Amino acid sequence: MDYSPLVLSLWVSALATSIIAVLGTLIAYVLARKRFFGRAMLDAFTTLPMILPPTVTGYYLIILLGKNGIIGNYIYKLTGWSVMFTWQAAVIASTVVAIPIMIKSAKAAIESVDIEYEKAAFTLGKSETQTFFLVTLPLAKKGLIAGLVLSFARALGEFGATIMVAGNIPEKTSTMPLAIYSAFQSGEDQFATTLVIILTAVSIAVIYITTRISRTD
Amino acid sequence: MVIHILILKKKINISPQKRNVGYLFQNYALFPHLTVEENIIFGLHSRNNTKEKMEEMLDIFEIHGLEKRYPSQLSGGQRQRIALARALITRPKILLLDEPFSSLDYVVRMRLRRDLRKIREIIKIPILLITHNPVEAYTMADTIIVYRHGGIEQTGTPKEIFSKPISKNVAKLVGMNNIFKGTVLEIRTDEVVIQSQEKIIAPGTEGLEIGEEVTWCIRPDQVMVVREDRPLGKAVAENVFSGKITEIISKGATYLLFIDGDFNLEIEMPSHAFERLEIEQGKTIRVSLKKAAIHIIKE
Repeated sequence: MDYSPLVLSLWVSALATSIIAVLGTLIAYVLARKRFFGRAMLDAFTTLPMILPPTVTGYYLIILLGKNGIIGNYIYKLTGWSVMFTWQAAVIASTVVAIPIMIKSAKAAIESVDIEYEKAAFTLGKSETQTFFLVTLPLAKKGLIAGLVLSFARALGEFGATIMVAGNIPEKTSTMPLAIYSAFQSGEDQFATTLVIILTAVSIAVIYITTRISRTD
Repeated sequence: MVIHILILKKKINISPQKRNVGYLFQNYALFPHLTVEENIIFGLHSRNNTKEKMEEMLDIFEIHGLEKRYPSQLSGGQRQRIALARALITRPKILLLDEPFSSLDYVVRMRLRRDLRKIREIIKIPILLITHNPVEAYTMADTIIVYRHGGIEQTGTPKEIFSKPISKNVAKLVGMNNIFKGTVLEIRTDEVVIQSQEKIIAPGTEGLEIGEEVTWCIRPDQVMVVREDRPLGKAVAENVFSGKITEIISKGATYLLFIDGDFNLEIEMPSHAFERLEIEQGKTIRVSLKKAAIHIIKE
């Protein structure tokens, strides 16, 4: 059996989740704790990929990153390389589609940390960065982990945006959901079934883990 | 004095991290994910002498044995002492206390007062205590600053504030609940006569002029009830009025009486006097406003 879709999916999702862990937490912190012009816009903008059909998100990514895209054309001119139809594009698609889930739960988790604790750390001479790592992060830990687990699951199941920007190139960009689609189309029912079972098992595990995290104090 | 340290030596609007001000939060804000020990040493920058510094705090606040516990496993009084230890271990220039007594029961309150006196002796930094309770201010402070609507109303020693309030608001705050308006009628060598509903003899006050509008006030416990059937002693011979008792409130050791008459007065008297004089609602009594206890406010 060809394990490449499984390996690729895990790799892509793990990378996307790592980016989400840093970027998502940062955006969530800014949204939860800072008051600035355009905050509502940022909030809405980072929620959008959760609401839009993934193919639409994928289409926007092509406009942005394609060979003639707003950013993509500069990258192509400079390096002669385009991110389109590479596994990196699958990582970007998964990140963009899954990050709203992290931002939502991380924002709620950070907001639930009593701001008095942060103020107390300030009066004890700690900088904002120190306070974030010593106080806010440990106190919001549960919500952050739950958000990451859900984001990982969403990244693992990503289909629409990925097929738009990464294509469905066997052994290169064909992640599990894409491989299931191809296998089903070409009548490889047994292969499709195996992948379906794996994805289902992972999803059940994710639900189990997140409920356990949110239950324990 | 405090204001000079904070503002005149350095610019205002420095970030809290750099202020070096110890601050006790109303709910203590102990970090719930850290042990008592980790909480106390949280503000230390270097790891040098951490142990000695912590031992010193444990000694001052008598909290040995709690080091490995979490805040949720402590009583309110313990939490407060640990919050104080955490604030003081960094040797701040000043300690700010935001209504530290408000949520504590009587026993813990007394304990905290004792702790604060000890801190003043050992650590020798100014302590700025914010309170709504005048009695607390009176018992704790060297200097009281009365604040109202964002401005300073009066500054002075507790004695000055309580015996010589400079405005009606401060008078009310310190419990001089009998406040009346009047006009200066006559100025004698060591007393003045004020015309209100009736003439009042008050102690001599500097800077008064005849015809000037003034406010005068007297504490409820300085209004003496005098028996109708006895000749007036010298001490209570001045400012004698009568009034009908409209309300009686027992405060335990003392009673509050409200009378309607020449002046509507609030009177506070000890229980034994209350019982001896057979006071009851509706009865008309004679009262004397002790001259020396009358305070004149020029406004």
